[in-house]
Amino acid sequence: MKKLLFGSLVGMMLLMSACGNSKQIEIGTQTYTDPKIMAHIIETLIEDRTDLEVNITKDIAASPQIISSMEKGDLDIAATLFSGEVYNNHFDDLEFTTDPEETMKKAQEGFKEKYNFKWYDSIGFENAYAIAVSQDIVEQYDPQTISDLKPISDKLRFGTDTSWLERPNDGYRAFKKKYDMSFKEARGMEVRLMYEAIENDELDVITAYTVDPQIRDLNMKILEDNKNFFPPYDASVVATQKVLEEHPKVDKVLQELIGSIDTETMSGLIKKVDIEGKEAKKVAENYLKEQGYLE
Amino acid sequence: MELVTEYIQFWQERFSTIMSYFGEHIFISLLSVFLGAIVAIPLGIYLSKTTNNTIQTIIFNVSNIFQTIPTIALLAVMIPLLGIGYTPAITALFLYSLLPILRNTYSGIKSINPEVIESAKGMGYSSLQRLWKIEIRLAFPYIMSGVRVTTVYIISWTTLAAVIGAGGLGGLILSGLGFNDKFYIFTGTFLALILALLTDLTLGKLEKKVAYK
Amino acid sequence: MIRLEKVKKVYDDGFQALKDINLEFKEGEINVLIGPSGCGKTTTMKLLNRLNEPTDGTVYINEKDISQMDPVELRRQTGYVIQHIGLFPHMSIAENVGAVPTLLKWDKDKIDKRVDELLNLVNLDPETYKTRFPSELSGGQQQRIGVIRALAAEPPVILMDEPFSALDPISREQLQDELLRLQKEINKTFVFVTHDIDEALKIADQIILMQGGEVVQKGKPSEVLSNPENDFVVDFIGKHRLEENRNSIPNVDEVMMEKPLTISSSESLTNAYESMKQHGVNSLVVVDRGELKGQVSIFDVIDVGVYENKLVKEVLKPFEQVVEIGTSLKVVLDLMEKNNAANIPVMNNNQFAGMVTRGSVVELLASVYANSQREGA
Repeated sequence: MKKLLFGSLVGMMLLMSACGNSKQIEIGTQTYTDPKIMAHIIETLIEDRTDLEVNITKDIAASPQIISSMEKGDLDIAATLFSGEVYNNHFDDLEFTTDPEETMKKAQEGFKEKYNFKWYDSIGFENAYAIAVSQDIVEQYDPQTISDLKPISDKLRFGTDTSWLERPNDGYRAFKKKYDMSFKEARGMEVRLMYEAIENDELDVITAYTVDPQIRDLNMKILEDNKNFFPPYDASVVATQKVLEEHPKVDKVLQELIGSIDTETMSGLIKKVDIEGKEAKKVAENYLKEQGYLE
Repeated sequence: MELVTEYIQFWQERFSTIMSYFGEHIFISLLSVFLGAIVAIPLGIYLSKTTNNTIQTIIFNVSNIFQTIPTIALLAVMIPLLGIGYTPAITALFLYSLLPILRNTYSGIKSINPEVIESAKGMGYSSLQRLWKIEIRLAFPYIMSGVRVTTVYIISWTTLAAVIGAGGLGGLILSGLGFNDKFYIFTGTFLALILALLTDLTLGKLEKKVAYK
Repeated sequence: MIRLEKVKKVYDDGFQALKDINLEFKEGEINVLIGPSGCGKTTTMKLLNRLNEPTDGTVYINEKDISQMDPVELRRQTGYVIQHIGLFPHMSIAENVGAVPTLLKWDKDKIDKRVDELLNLVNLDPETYKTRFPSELSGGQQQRIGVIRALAAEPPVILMDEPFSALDPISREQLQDELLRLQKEINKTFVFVTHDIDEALKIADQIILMQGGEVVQKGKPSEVLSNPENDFVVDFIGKHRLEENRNSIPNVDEVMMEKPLTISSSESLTNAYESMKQHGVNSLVVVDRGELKGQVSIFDVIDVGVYENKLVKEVLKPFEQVVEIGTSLKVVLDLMEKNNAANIPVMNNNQFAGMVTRGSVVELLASVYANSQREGA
């Protein structure tokens, strides 16, 4: 749990010790699996297409730490950032919208202007917050939209990740206002434990990430965000302009990834890692081979 | 200056939330250590007295194992048994608190000069009187320092409560990390620090009051 | 009185610590158990407060089998002082000294008074020392506290397990002197374990010398010195001490007959004559309730006439010379020589204690010579 608390510190120390060799491309990922798979995909492609070496630093506690490491020059590439990141207090007075294109545009422009990052167009999958209900609730009430939960919300046990309860624009406070409902109890927790709790009937409703393979595994149902509450979290690769200028070939590689993996495909890859226990690197390589990226 | 004003404003807006995270943190950490002490102190005394090496080895190893199980794994195992929220969080922290208190109690009692024990026995202290009037008093500084150290680190470890729905200052810190809000991170860390310092200070005073020179 | 009867002790590992101990510890005296390490002296002492239980045999204190007593009760009635003092470091001096009375639930004032009294007994000012803690005292002071702590509840028996051995020689001497002084004042039964023969010779009324779980010899220090039982005793005491003892002139206590025949001054001459005839002696010491009157000899009686109706007081002759107990034998021999006296009475505080006679002097010489012959062989 120290890792959880001081993860950012540890991550940064790792980065500091790792950097220095300009021939080596530094990639960073968050704690979850989709960026990790993406990191290995990028690593494999760069090492295939160029003579550059790649180093991956995993399990950086949260996206803001990745961004500040890139700003400092300790990281060159964020394997995956999501367009909704733009609302995470990086910019003052930014107008909040749930429109995907608008949000992507804000992210690309904002991060270019402020940090000189290249925020690529979406890889093709999305990993947004979504409200998902357990199989029991589906069987009992068959809700279709989030609004359908309103009559029963005060009976529902709700779980979410460790930051959503406090998130300013798209968190629980805003959610309560927008949907005019609040749950019986709302608990923040580790995402893996959240699914564990669903499985053990300790929770009824959660904020899922749309790529989570457990949603299908546990026969859960994602409810339609009928009031357009959640901002889009379209996945993109992000790189510093510096690394792209030094190694134009890297830019070419990263361009290749635009629009290459949809949500369902990513969910399948995540399942191979999280549920079937395969190594992320192997999964990435196999995927690239199957898709004909590699000979 | 602007930062200070903003921070004050943050406190004003979020005061009741912060206090509820803080309250959860105090409740979880202190209750865990309290339960840990209630179990580990008598157990430590028992271990220091027993001549049964097997029991000693088993108990020390088991409490040692609790220390090494990764938190998330431990909590995941607990969900089917204890659910989510306070119960698994307190249980996990309780298990983590056992070993250091156990160790200190054990070595505290073991550190007592055997001459003193022999003397007390020969003077006609019954075993209970000896335990209460001599051994526990003499081991007290050890036991207290075990409790103090444990309390301080359990206060820091209580941030893990936030990963299993029990809240606490970890909720503030992880939220802050999640959406890049330094006020959250700072407030959570700062309050945990203050709580640790105050508790350590209080226990230190208590120790001085009760312990001999 | 403490008595060990057929006591055996075998440890779990089969080690036979005590083989067959039959022993009496004299009441009101300092009984010293001594011997090389592993001889069983500490084991023997710890039988007395049941820190050790005998495998076989019985320990009686005042004719009560102590195995029938509650050990905690027994220990509270028995003072106990150990080598490394064992003061309770978390208790003040007053609390340490008052520990057993507290266990016995004496009331506070009584304990307080007792503590002051005891501190005064060893010349430690109560006002200065009561509130201090053991760590603030010197080693010698700590052991004084150890000793008075054992005395606190006025136990009739006090066990001391090498109490002074960890002290520097000067403190040790002082404490030994203090113990002797204390013993005169309080008159308790002490059982004192030591491996230091000088200490034993200095303080003991009775020395019990042990080896391999058995009692080799017991007796007064002078007896042991002048008549060692076997080579082990000789080696253990050390030849130089025996030599010293032989060369040193003993005092009258060791030479005198403790119980010579006496007669009261108001007895008839006939009775005096009969008593002399019966015991084959030619004089009687005249003593009235411990007060020495003189002596009456067979010649005086015959001169006057055995069957005359006369009393002893009419013919007795007072002694020209008496000596106090502790006088050197040299002085006594000088007196006997000068006055051509056959015997000289020994007084203890104006009470008749015994008699040095030519016969008792010869006995002493014989024991010394017999002893030296064996040693020379």
